[in-house]
Amino acid sequence: MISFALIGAAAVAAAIGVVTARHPVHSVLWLIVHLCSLAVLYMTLHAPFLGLVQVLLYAGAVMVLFLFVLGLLSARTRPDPAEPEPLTGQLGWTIGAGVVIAAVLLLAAGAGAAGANPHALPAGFGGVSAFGQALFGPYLLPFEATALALLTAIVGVVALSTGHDEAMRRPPTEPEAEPEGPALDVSHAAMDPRRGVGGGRD
Amino acid sequence: MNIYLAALLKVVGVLAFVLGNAFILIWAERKISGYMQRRYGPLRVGGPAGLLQSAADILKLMAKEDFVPGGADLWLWWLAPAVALVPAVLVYLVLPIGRSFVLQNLSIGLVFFASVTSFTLIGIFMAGWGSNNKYSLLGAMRAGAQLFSYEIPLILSTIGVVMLTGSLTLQRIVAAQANVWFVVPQIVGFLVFYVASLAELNRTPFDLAEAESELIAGYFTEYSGIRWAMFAVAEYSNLFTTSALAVTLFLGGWRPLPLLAFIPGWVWFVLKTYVLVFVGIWIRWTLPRVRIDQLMDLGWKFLFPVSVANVLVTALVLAVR
Repeated sequence: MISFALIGAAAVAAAIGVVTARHPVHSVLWLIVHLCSLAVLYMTLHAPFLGLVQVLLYAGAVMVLFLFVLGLLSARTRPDPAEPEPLTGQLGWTIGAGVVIAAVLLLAAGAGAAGANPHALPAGFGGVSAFGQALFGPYLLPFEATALALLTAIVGVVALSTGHDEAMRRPPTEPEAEPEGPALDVSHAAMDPRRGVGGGRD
Repeated sequence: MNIYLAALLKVVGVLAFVLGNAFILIWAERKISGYMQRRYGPLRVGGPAGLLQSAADILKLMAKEDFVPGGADLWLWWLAPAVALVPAVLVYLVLPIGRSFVLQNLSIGLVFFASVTSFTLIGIFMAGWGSNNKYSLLGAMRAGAQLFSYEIPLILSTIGVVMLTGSLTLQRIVAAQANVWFVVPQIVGFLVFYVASLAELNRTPFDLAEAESELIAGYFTEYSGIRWAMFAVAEYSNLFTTSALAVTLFLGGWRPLPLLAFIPGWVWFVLKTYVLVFVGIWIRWTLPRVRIDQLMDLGWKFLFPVSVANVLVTALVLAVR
């Protein structure tokens, strides 16, 4: 119970850090702290495998992708505190939604506590085999559906980005014939400064 | 024994080993690279072999100014070396050093190892981004792409061993190698694991994140003194632990060679690990650095399909048998 209170407080503090940080990279780092606190909570709830997978997939992979993108996009920018809020009224909506979610969670937790005895866990609960049985047994359909949704997203991103690339690669105008010197071959064209860095070659 | 006292002893023991290991490996790398380049390496500090060169290095690093670059993100700057060092120390928890010598025999030791080491990248990113330096940032970005890409074949290559053993406990994986080391049935897995682990360690030929000729030193360009030393210690510790994991998964862990069983298991474990570490140093001073596109091609177009095929073939063989 004491550990739950400590780790829960850490998770809440990190979550507050996510929304109050002024720089998106700081937000992501707070989110990593939050996800790791959740992982420790899973471990105290007899689900060590889930906790470690949480660290491996969320903190180690998904958040790294976030950092990757944000680091590239906002390397130099420091946000201006005097800048007006682009999303007007978001604070009220956020607090409203938070209160609703907290109420629902409290109700669900109350209902759960009234029903099941938390100390009567089946043998092997939270272990790898129990985890796998659940994932590929009763939850097979949602699991595969999620995989399909992710695959769709990846294919969509690839399609969008390559289409974009083709448009970029096409020379803006017909290349003028060079009066003297040899005609541009592909490798020279790739290094043509007029087309920008790496144009036509990657 | 009091559990807190035992935990304290474990922590102190691991930290002492991490520092001692870095001490030995820094000297060994200087010496081995010297001989590979037809020179002697360190000669003067501590006897004719330069045994105390690392002590001189440590004194120099501790005496250096702890320089902070202008415009650095101070919190990330201060914390990054620690974030890189902590996972390097934590993974010793699950390494099976001897028959009954493991600090904590977790039932999911392999998952623990993978998830803890995935944290190294966050430390690298914090260092590169927090330095407010384009070379550091580029190094961190390269490290991100590289570690992220090679983590997938690295983990997939261990799945074959897990399938043969039916357990994620490292001690059980060693126990399952009583008759034949897994390097024989899982030779493909071992090779993929070793190449991917060299890339995870950011060592030549995969050291694009700190390519001196382009990026000065990559993500730790701006670091100096004791904070730079923390990164170096973490790297050498990771070199040891990754080699130790390869030994555990594929080379029989603490199991002795035939007829030499009178030598205790932990000696075998350390010996095999240092042999693999030597191979890593050997590769570093033999091969040139690959280009970034070659690196990505090797990871995604070769190691990844090979490791998936290895899992499928292992499954097929197990199903038929």
